[in-house]
Amino acid sequence: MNTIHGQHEPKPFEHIELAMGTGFSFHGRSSLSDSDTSIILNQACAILHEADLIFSLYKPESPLSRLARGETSVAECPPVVDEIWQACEAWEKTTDGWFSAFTAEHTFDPSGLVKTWAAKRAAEYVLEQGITDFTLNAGGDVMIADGVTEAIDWRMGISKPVSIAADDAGVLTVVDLHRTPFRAMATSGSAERGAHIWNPKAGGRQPAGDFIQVSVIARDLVTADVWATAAFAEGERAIEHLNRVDDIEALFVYADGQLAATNGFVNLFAK
Amino acid sequence: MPSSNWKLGAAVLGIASVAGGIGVNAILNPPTTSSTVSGSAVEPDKTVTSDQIPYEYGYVELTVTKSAGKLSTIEIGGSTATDGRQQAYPILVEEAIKAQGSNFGNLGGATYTVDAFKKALDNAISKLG
Repeated sequence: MNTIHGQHEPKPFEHIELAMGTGFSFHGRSSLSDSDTSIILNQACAILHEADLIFSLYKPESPLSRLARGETSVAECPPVVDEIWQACEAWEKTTDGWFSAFTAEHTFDPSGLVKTWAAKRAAEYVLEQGITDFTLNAGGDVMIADGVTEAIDWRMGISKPVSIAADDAGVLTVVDLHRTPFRAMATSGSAERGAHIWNPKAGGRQPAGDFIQVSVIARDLVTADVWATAAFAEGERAIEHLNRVDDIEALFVYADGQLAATNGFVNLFAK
Repeated sequence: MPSSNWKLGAAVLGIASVAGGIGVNAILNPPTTSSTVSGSAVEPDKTVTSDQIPYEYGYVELTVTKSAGKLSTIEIGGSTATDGRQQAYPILVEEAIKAQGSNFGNLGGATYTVDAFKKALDNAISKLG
């Protein structure tokens, strides 16, 4: 291997980490040594596991679980809990209430935001450490780093709205984000986990209707994720709603398989 | 893009959904017509015509050819769409086929569980590779 000032020829890497109940895949090329690349990716994944320890509502002793049971306050939680709380409040306003981390039972459930928030932080860590040519697939939500060099990494398939484990699993279409301002895509849908997005405006736990899948393309992963969740909850009116939001494009799949999209989405189809 | 373009986008994407095979896959490729090919034999080309699929602007009927396991051509017949949309179809359907058949670095979709993730690894490789 050629070593020039500690730099090597870019070498492909792939790192798959199971965290937060899903799979995270870093894929790209690094000019650092194999061991440095590996250390950086492991550190990035530590960020994911740390977020899971704090925010998981499946772990009874997590700060979030204790908060939900009223055993602690936001002020007593790690500072990052307040950060996420503020972010959720801001997103609720931005989406006109269609994204909400506050449940009908008045508890705080930011799980709709935490996965992509942690993924974004993990990716930022990797960038800061000098690896800039990579993509991160966070359980189906994808972000692309600015330094991506391979044309294929700008192209993202969108799953059919069936489980990726289903016999008829496959690709609905492919988008290409090269030479666009967009760097991320997030998808909300009922194909993998059943109904789990509730209509925050219906009161109680009424599942969102109209769509079985919404994919949102944005400049960053959290923005894409929040709007995908919000649009799924809002239903059909989200098409016009998202047309009024800057720097967002979306593809909607109705329960009968019919598709719709925001005005500019058609420009993103891979050529 | 002016908002008046939205309906065109939606209509075109309605067709893309046919091309992509969601929902209507069963119509385009009913199990009864699939020929079982054993071993490593190449799957023969297969051409089928869809039912008339109603959508926002009328109905559409597609004749689809599958070659080597991928959609290779889609011809549109019987569309009742008007307002000049019809002229835009061939180009955009072509785009949709190209997009479907092209390579990509990542597959996005609704958040999957670890279990589905593991099961899907083999599945995705065999279907998408």
